[in-house]
Amino acid sequence: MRRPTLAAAIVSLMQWLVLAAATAAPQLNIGYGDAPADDAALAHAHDILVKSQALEELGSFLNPLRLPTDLNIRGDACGGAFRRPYDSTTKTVTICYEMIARILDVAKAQTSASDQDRNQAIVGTIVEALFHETAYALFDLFDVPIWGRVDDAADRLTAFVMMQFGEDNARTTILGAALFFNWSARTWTGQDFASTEAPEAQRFFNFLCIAYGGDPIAFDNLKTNGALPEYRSAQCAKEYQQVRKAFDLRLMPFIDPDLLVKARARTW
Amino acid sequence: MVRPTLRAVALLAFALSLAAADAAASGSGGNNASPAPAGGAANPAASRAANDDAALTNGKVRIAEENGDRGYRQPKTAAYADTRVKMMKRQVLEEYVKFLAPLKLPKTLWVYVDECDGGDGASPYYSPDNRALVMCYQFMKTMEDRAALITQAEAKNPKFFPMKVTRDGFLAGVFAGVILHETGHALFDVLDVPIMGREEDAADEISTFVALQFQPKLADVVVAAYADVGETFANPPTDAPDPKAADYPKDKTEQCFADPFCAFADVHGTWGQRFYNTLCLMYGGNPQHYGFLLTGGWLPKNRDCPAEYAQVRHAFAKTIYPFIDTDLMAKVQARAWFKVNELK
Repeated sequence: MRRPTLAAAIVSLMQWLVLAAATAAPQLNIGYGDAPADDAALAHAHDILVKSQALEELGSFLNPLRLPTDLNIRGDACGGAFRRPYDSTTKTVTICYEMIARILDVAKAQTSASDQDRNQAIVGTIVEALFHETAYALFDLFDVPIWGRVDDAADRLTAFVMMQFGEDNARTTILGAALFFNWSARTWTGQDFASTEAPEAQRFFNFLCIAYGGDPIAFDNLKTNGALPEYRSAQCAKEYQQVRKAFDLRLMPFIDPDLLVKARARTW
Repeated sequence: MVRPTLRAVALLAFALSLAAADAAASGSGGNNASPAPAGGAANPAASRAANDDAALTNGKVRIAEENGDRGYRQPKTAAYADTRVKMMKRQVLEEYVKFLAPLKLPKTLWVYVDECDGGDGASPYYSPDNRALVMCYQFMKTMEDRAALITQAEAKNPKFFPMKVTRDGFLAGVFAGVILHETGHALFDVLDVPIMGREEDAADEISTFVALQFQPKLADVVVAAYADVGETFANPPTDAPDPKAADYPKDKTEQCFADPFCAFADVHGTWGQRFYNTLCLMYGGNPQHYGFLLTGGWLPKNRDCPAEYAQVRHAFAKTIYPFIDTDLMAKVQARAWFKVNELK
């Protein structure tokens, strides 16, 4: 008969799973590559990441996730590139020192901006970069179906997550990132539009729309001061709910709800 | 695995939209009895398919009739009366319902044709408020003008577009592509599909992905038109407008579209982005057939189009495929839907 054999197989599989879980619970590993010795800007970016413990904070932040395998998050020099794509083979998210250096450069060049705005742009955009790159890992680890361009999906998830930790954190991170997109916007023409990345101006509106759509009271000024044009702001509640639904259906099953509440209650 | 059934699903939606395009684009008012020129002919089941029409029913996709109009509203503008007659003769709505028959929808999707609000530029849309897909008489007229523009540009410079189109082929293809795009919005709503990226891009993905499940000759009709039409619309302006200029728009939304930064607030991608997204899925879905997009320099070499196609296929398999009746799908796949003049 088949039945006893199948049952036995299931039992032994379960025993193996219990054993495997006990011996090797998936880990989240944080690490840093060296910055090239001859590049002061990258060395500075490396130091900022290490001293601020931004990656360790990101690690605590991801604590409620039920990881199926190890996940590695590394700061590293990327040979001049601002981004290194998520590596699905080694399950490694890389934050490039070049990106951190670029964020600092763009903010520094805004000589007419207030210190507060510059700091907000730096903090908000570093958080944005961390979440954005990590989003790719979540899409991979949890086999999330992605409709639409994956870079936009990473942005929308990032903005949505930024909205879950109180209005002050949401303002700092979303408005900070939006400032950066505004400051770094360049002119796109022709084959520029073949890029898988979105134009800075598009990202600016995508972030602000999730903010206004998620909390039209705290972010009322985005509509009244004209940052979001009327025809877009009218759609933002729907956009926010759409991301929320995708998050609830496709990521929430992999998150410990009690740990999530604790994370939301914590001061970041 | 899912591949054969995916093909079938896609075939259905594609065929459906082509049928609609056929009706609107051709003045001949041909009927369904004509044998399949190409579409289903390669399928072994094609010969018996013609008799399977009766099975292609679906109580959840329904024509919204009003005062016995069969779903074809009386246009307010006399110029569209002719378009209405053509679409009725070709049974555009009836064909659309047959095409969607394999979809196991949890809620009723309504469909009708109307002279839509928004003037001459109105194009088909999905309305979640009454769960209706609305085809607009105006759209065919707009696209006839666009077809003239495209064939003229092509005559001047054959390399202006990635793929050559004929007038009839363009009209059929662009109608098919746009109806597929709107059907995407309808499915996202009715099937409660999680959309992590931007919905307008997702609807474009549905359109191109579904088209690509067909024989290349048929897929070409839709994807060529969908890509080419993107090349005839402008990207956001690069220079700030002069608010004192005579042609500076009065409408706030129009003012935004005239501004190099604000124009990016659109929920749609830029026409350039939509053009390259379409080309990328084409190449990713069939690198052999569309290899010229890479070798001809239409696509940048660093864009991983097979991965993008796999992403869309994965999303389709996870969120839409479970709602497909595969037996009905096979019948739809076997049915003949196309006209010879549109395949050129």
